[in-house]
Amino acid sequence: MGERDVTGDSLDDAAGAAGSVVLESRDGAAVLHVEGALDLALAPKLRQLAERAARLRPALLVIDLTGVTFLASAGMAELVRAHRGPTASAPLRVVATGRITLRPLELTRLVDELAIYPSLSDALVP
Amino acid sequence: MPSRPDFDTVLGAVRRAFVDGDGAAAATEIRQLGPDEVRAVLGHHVALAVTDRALLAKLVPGKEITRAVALAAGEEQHGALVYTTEDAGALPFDVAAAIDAATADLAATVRRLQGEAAVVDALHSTGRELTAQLDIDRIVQDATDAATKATGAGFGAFFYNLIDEFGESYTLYTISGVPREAFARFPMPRNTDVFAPTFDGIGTVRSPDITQDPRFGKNAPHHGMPEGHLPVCSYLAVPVLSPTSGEVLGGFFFGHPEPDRFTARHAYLAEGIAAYSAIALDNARLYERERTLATELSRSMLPVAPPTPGLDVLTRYLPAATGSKVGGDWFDVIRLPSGATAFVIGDVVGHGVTAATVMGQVRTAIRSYALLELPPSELLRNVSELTTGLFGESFVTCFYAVHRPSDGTLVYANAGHLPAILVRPGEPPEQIGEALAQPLGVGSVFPQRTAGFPAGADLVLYTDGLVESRTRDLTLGIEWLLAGIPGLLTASDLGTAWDKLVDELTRGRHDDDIAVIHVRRRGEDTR
Repeated sequence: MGERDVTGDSLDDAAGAAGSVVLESRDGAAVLHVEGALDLALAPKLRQLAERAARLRPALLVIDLTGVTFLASAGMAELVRAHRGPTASAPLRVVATGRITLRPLELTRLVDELAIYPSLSDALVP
Repeated sequence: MPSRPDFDTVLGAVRRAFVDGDGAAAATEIRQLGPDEVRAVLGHHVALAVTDRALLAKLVPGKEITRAVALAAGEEQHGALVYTTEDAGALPFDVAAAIDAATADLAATVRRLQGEAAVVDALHSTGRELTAQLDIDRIVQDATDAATKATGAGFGAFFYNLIDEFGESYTLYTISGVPREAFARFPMPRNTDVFAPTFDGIGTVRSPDITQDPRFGKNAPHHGMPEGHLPVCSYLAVPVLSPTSGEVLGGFFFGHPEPDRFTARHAYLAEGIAAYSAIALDNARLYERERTLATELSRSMLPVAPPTPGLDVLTRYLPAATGSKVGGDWFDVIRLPSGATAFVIGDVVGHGVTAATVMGQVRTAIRSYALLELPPSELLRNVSELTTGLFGESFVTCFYAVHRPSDGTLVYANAGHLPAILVRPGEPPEQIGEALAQPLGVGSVFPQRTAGFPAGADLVLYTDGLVESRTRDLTLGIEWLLAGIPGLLTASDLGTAWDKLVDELTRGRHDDDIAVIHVRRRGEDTR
């Protein structure tokens, strides 16, 4: 996916408000697809599904941020939690591409700590 | 109302009733009826002779029908028309009349039960909608509309009490069934004998004709309804009581210009909606209280920047415009024993009272270490350790900068916070401290940097609410902020210029807290 340009005009409130997290199992890996604004409103959902994914005892947990249109610090806090929180059981890989998600991760130096992949298929390579 | 296979039995019996004068069976045919046709042909009847030629021609075109009987088949709401084109006596009509008479009570009972089920459904769905709301204005209007409809009132009103910021109670109302202007000219109802049972929360008042009630018309100046008041004859009023405190939150009032319109069932419905409204209003109040508490807590912990020799310090703190996120941002300006000044800006992830209290503690910790004059790098490392220990997994970003007038420098460290903006005289705005370290509670190493901060230089620290939102990309937001800085520096009034810039960057609405510190070094106190 190419870089997305999100400006004040390109998203209306309804589109901005809609976010979702979907859990999928793929060859022993648990994949969380996150769409929309990953902020305070969506963060609890990501936490809930990351914990559910952990109970499946996957070999790998992948959080796919490809569809994320806004990555707020509440969302980054959940990435850290999934990486090294008390319920983290599998190695975490994060799919982030484009400045919308990479820039906040760079500014907080979370790129040093999280394993970041440019695409889901890269993240799923054992 | 029989249903299959009983219906087939009844249908068979009716068909056998189609006989001529000699008792010989006439050939009959069946035309099935859909729900709409059943309603149109039979109304509430279970069996009915159909003699309307035009109706028969429409149902069964092109046939000369001599006798026809329609039957309804119970709950599936379908039916059948039995007819013949042969000679047949009046027996089918007698049979139809007999079936109808025998089932009339049953049919009436079924209708009543269906009516009750509809009432319960309506009450349930109204309750579900009301209790899912936190917006008081919508709760009261939706409740008034639903209750006015459910009671069949000519008009309904809901008077409800609110507490203003000074703790004073005041009353507002909503209207349903008539335009609001119809009420606009009248004073608020006072606690007269008629209204007392409602406003005092004693119980429901139901009157077939309120003007005949002994409590009516006792009070000056109106002695009844004010002139021009909507004509109220039938009257129903139900108090709304808080389920948590028992306090009277308000009251529903329903009127109808004709007498005896409100039944016990209407009162029951209105009481049901009042109970749901009470829960919804309680929820809204508790939510509002939590939000206010978080805002108050955040505000009360924010400092007034102390006077700092040689520095002009402007600060802004705007709590989130939409309630749920208030509480995480803070800033601080601390004069240190050595004569230096520390500037702190930060953001605690989370919202509400929890974030506000964590923020308060982190802020105090930073203040304490700052007064010990720990270098920025050391200070953030200690606070990060403390944060992890005290709050478990937390995520706090913080920019910490110390201005030392003695050597005209700025020493800073940044725990995952947005970069600061430094503008030195004659140079373009420059971002400093970008991506130096991870947030507090996450990172353990916090490198510090030193920059010159000469007379005439400006430093701007800010939180993410200023530059990013669901509809504003961070990278662009920062570009726009940087583009706005030169205009600020030449403005005659820095405060007004900041308010304008904040407004432009956020397009007048921000759903996250915003905190800003702008420091300008005047320079007259330099050594």
